[in-house]
Amino acid sequence: MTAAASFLAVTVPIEWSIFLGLALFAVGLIGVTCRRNILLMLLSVEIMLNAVNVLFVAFSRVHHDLAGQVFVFFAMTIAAAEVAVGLAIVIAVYRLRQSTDVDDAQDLHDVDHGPLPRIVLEGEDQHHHDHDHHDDHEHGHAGDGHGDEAHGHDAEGHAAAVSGEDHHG
Amino acid sequence: MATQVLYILFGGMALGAALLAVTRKNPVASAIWLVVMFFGLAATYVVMEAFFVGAIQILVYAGAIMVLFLFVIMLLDLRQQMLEGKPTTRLRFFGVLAALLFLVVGVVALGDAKDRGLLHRAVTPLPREADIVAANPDATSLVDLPLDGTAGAIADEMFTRWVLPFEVASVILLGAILGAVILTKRRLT
Amino acid sequence: MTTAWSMVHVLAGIFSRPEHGGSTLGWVIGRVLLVLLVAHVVLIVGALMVWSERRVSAWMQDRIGPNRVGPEGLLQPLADLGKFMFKEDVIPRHVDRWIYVLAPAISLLPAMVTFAVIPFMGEVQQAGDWTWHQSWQIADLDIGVLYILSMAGISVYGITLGGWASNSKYSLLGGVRASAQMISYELSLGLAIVPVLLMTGSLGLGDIVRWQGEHGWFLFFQPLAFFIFLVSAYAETNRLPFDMPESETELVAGYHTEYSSMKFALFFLAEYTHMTVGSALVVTLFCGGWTLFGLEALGPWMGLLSFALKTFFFLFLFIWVRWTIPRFRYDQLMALGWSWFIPLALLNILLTAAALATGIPALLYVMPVGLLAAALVVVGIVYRREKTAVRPLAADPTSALWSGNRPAGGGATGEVGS
Repeated sequence: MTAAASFLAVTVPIEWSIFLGLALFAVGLIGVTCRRNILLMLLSVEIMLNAVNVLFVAFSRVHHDLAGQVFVFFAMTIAAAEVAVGLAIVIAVYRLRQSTDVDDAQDLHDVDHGPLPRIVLEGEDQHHHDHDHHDDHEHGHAGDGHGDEAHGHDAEGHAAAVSGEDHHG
Repeated sequence: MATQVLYILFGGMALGAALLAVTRKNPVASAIWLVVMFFGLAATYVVMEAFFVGAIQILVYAGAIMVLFLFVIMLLDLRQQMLEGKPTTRLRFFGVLAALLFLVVGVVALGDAKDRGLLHRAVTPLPREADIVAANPDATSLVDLPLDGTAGAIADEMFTRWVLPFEVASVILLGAILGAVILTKRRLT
Repeated sequence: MTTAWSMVHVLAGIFSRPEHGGSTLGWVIGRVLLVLLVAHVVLIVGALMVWSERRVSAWMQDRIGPNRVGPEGLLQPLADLGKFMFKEDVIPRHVDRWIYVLAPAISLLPAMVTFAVIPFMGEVQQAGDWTWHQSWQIADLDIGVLYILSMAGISVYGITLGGWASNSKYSLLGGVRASAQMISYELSLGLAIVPVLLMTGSLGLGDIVRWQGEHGWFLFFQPLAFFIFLVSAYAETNRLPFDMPESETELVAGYHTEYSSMKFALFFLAEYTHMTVGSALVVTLFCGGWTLFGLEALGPWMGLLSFALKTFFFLFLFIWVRWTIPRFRYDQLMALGWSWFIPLALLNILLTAAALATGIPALLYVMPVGLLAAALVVVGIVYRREKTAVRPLAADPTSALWSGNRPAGGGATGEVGS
């Protein structure tokens, strides 16, 4: 072997690659937990996938088994698929909410949409209004985020009651 | 020697770029730093003599995936969105804590393994093509030779041992294409 | 004495590996010199292209063109350079400063580094009764084609980022168009090369040229692949008829609307460097590289001459097409890429693979040509049918942004998304 070849000979200890993989994965984890922008979270997931790829390549080279490098290929395929679908979801969410903040996209969770539209029956009108005013008063005192949730449940209860009466009527 | 220096250089570059990518406010800056990270990792792969993977890394990640990201960022024009909502301090704290704990546990385990002498291996140089040819005088073509890490060798592995996963991957890609089209189309006519 | 010795080693290092002779230091210095040489040649050719574009277009339009600076106006690029250098370098206040400054450099770089794997000359070597074509290039990567495709993928960034960072609606539209267009045509670019790889059995450009030296140019084996590659290369370089990202009748100047002085010059140079690289790639992959029907045996200079002449021909073709064919509409561009080139390229791959699998060499000659003929017939029929139908103005991908209220043409530097 000539001088140039020995100068460029590869002897990278395996623990370096393991450390690189660990550190990259940790960085990706920080990104996923600390960023609220869906795009940034997807980027962080890419970092984590790459951290695993580093290990695949390193172990493949250490054990002289090409399966590792083939798996990197598959990981990239999956990453591409994931990004395609993920970005499509981002666009769909953006159309609905005009935002890429994950905190703006939690409809199944408690979001206050204001008073729900309700069926108003003849004769029942006055009673419900009274009840509502009472509720709002209570909220003013409660004064924290949970009040909204209580309000939501209450409104649902009313709606159910109204529909029930409707049924009977 | 030179290899180790290069490995540290490019590995450090990848790590630093990843950190910057995660911490930038501007999504486009994040994307650019991520591209830098992909380049760092590709160079790391090349230093480890996994040439094919290094090329594919640039081709797929930097050339396709990140362009798609940039395209979407530009399409949504996220300039107004730069000031994203802050996550609750609790989530932020536990996120960083989890990551640091993960890193600490990993490094401690790594140190322990080293103490027990489990990590004696290293990425060793590939045999040179000339040496392999000399060692296999009766081989008739390069395909018969155990050339590690080249596109040919990886293709050999992929299309013999891993044919089924390869096909499944193509089906997954097809599914992803369909999913992306259906999700982004306003109405299917 | 020592100087003479080291000169010899440096010269030996330019074209040989240290295993084959020469010292390591000589090899390294030789390589660096070679890289510098090639980079300068590429840039000078780029500058000359600016001159020849103006002259050729003038000739086509029955004008004279720049002929004042130097003989036949040959020094015009130098005068242009002086003008660009001394022009005020305006950085608008509303731009994203870092990315704005970086973008021109990013757009020039991928084009220049692609030249590292292109064999620009070579020599015919003999050992016993075995003759082979030994290519000379900066680096004979065994994954050369993948390298080229990677660099083609990266060249999107300069334009895209430049368009985004300028923070103006025309620039942004240009940038978005560029990214969509270049991603789309990258696919047909890559797929068009696959039959070539199938037939050579190698990803190295040196091997591809060697194969062509021994068997004949791929232009004759794969005319359809050649055509798809050529047109995709035009789309990748954002040249007319595919210059959507900077179409001046629609977008002022597209992605470089906000650029001036040397930054604009870099974008300009990047376009011409991309042209040079694209032509060199077409020559290398489909037109035999530095080989010329056996004439290359005359000596390495003949190889260089052959390569240069062929490259200049394709550069001329770039200019010729630009001043002849009008711009495509955006939806036509996308339809051409996605519903014509990609399926045709896939079919071409399938047929070539089938021909190779059956092992009948005659099929290799017949099938691609037959496919080309069939494609032309289909295109002709469709064209005749569509000529009468009025087609609706279809979507720019950017129209998703505006959902109904399209951007009104306002001031040149209006804010985006307002």
